[in-house]
Amino acid sequence: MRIPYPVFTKRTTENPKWLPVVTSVGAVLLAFLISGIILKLIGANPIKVYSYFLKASFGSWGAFSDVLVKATPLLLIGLGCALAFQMRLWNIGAEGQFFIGAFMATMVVTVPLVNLETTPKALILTLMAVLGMIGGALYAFIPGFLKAKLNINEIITTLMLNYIAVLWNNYWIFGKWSDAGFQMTRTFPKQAWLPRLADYAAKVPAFSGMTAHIGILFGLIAALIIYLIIYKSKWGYKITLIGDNVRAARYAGINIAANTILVFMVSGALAGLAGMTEVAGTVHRLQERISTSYGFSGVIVAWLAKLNPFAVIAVSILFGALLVASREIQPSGISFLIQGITLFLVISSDVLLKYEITWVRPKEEHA
Amino acid sequence: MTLPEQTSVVPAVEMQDIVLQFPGVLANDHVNFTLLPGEIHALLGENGAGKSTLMNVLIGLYKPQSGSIRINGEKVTFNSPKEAIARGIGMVHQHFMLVENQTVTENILIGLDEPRFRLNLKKYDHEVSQLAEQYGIHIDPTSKIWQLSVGEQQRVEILKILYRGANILIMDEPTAVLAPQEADELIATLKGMAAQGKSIAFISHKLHEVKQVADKLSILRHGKMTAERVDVRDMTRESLASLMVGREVIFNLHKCQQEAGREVLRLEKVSAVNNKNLPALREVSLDLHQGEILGIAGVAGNGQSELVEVITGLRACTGSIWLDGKDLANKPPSFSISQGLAHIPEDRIGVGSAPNLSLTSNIIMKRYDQEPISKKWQLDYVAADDLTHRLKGEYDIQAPDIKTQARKLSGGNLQKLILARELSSTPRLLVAMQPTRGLDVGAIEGVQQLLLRQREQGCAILLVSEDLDELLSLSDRIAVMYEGEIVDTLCSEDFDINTIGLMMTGSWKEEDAEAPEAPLRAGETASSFDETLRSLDEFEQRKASENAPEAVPEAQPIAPEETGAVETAQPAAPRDETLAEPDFIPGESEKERVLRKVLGKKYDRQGGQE
Repeated sequence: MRIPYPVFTKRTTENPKWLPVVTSVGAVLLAFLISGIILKLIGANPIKVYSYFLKASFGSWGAFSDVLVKATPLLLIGLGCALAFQMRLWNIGAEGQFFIGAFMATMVVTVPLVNLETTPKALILTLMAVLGMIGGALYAFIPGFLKAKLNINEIITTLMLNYIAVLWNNYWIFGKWSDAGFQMTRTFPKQAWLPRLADYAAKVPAFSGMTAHIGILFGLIAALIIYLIIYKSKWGYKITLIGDNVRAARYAGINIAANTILVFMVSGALAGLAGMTEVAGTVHRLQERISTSYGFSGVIVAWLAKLNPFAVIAVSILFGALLVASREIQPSGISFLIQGITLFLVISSDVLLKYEITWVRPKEEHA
Repeated sequence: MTLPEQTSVVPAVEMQDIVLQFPGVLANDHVNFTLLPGEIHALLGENGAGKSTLMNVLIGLYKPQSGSIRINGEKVTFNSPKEAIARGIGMVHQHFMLVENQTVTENILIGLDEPRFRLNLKKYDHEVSQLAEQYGIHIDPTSKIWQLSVGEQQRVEILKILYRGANILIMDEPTAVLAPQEADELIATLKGMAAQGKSIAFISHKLHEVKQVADKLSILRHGKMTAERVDVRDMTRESLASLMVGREVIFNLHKCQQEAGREVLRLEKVSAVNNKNLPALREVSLDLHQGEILGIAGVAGNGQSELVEVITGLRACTGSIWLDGKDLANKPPSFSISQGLAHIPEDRIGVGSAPNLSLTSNIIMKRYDQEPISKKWQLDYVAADDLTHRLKGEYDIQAPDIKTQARKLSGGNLQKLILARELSSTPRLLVAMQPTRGLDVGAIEGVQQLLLRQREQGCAILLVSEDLDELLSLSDRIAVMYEGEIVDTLCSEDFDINTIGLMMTGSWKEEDAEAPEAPLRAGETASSFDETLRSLDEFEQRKASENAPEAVPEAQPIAPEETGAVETAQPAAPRDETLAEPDFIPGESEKERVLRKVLGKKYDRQGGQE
């Protein structure tokens, strides 16, 4: 039997603009198809599962509000990663920066740094957000500095620092800040809650019960800022140049060390802000499991979005939907399965951009 | 043009009417290429003329839009290089594909179906050395790739192809990476292989070398054949050049007489170490004036790269570097750029450009921070594109449009892009390192004229080159570097190629009676080097009467020669390719041979030209 086999030839023509979009969307669809086959094999009805998925995450405004809650940290972290990756800086430490951001924001309440009764709410929240960002930035400064000055591999340092951050948080929530022996702080007073849609239910009844908080707005603004940085600013040009060829950037007079540290810190600040929105907007306390590995999912989000800030918005909403749906579907691992397959296919689909594939029947070659 | 000779021999390769369209460029426009058994057929052309493309079609890397290929008379269609290899076609690329930490034999066996699981390395070592011997290639199959010089690595690539049973060899600009001496050896090897029936396609743009090696030659220009299978003996250097570039090439540049102006650059006792922390520059002092070209001559690895890096702020140093009264020493590159220093780096792809970014991004590399491209925090991409459009036209950069990635440009066009960026800022000082290396005659002429125009406009130019002809025709003064020191600086009326050659090889000192010992020799390395030099001189004298190879190994850290490959003619010869490493300079002992090596091209040419 003669089976046709694919032959990969390097593309000799310029790619049309629509091709990357088509391959990415095609890869996501294919991921759902493959996942469907797996679901079928384990005896489920994929159509039913997917329609339930859809209903669970986009079926109502309430469900969509839940999706936005999950998408918020993914969006902020994904944007930070996209910026770092643009410079070929592999910040895998968003998880740790997220936790330190959450810790610093929590300090405002638990220490407390300000009088929670008398200080205006806006001031408390601003302070929390700023401290969260500073926390993430400082925590990212460590790998940035080590990379810039001693050329220590940032993948290793950021990965290791994640564990330190988690354990640091544990120290506080198990001990000093523990709420009656539980591994969490006491619930924050309302003064330290980010405004939610539900808060306006009195005026707009449709908002009742909706937990989406203002953090998503932070994310959208951040997306715009990161877009302006990468595509419009001089700094973004420098970052892109360093990412493409460090030696050329050095030759062009760009300070590599300073930019490495700076990009790391901005990336960390966004992850820190994500940590703040999570404690102040969603959980309202610091606890061990505030992150369902948002830090790592953020890396995936950035990659799937091909580092485009606006695409990060779409991808983080998609991932948020998967997370929400996973609460409703048993086993909950199904969403992670789909996530994994999606990432795999989207990254593989890049090959279509570089090569032209023709199918050859074996008999032809001996003609 | 059709085949001039009527032969009954079946051609090893017959490519007919090959058409290959790249975006914006017709790379091959109905091209024919025929290669007979036992023949060396040179393929000449400017950068981007379509030579490599045509050969990539032959090995199945690209699929032509139309045209046919016959191998030994049989029509074939290749879908991958693998299928071409199965037909006995192999290509040695310009950039080697070898695993540094594995031995020669291991590299040759990579990717083969045999051996399957257990590797009896000894058996294959033997096979490889036999194969090498058959074609007169000197190599030790047990040495690791990183221990080999560039020339030896190339031999491994050739062996790799021969081991796979190739009868048709494609050499893509094989001499571009070689020292002249190595190139001679390669040419001898190729001729030997042709005599044993192998067919060789030889891509080049060096005219003199084609005359040496090839039987037949074809010339490509802008994707079309301008000469097909002509006899090499019928061609002169001038006629070849004009067929390549499509117009007369002036081999004598017009350099106007002008007085040098005020001093622009002054180096005072500048010392620096190289990447291995060994002294590379030793108290170098020099001065450079407005409207003057100061050439730096020297064998590669004698501190020229470090000199350039120190001036451009890419390397730390001691001493001072004054540019119009401001000290550049140990300042970041951004400072020297702001002081009007332009730099044409040696490594066009690795340093001079961002390969995956657009022409625009590459053009604005040094002025993204200046008006009108810089607008507060923003970068005005419209202004940047305008500038790129203008420079693309002005410097005649051949590219489909300004969004094209820099890596898609040919070597000559990439250099034009870099020149456009550096020269359009009207620099006060231009530091150019090997600005014409690897370019074809047409592009070389263009670059050299641009340099001369800068000179006329009052720019001070530091020109580092290994091409003595270039230095002699462009420079107002030449400083010769040897072992990190400036041996002497000559004015144009004193230019004498033999003197410069002697200085470059370090032989001048002994003959120059007044030359004192260098004052500060940094530590052991230097003094042990002097010792080696002395011992080698003694060796040289002894060698005149008898042949005593025992003094050689000491000077060479790695000496895998004892085994396998038998060194026949020259006992110390095959090592000096490693000149790029300062450690190996003692290998230069045979003064005469080195001189020939340094001046090789000049010697070859002198007969016909002057």
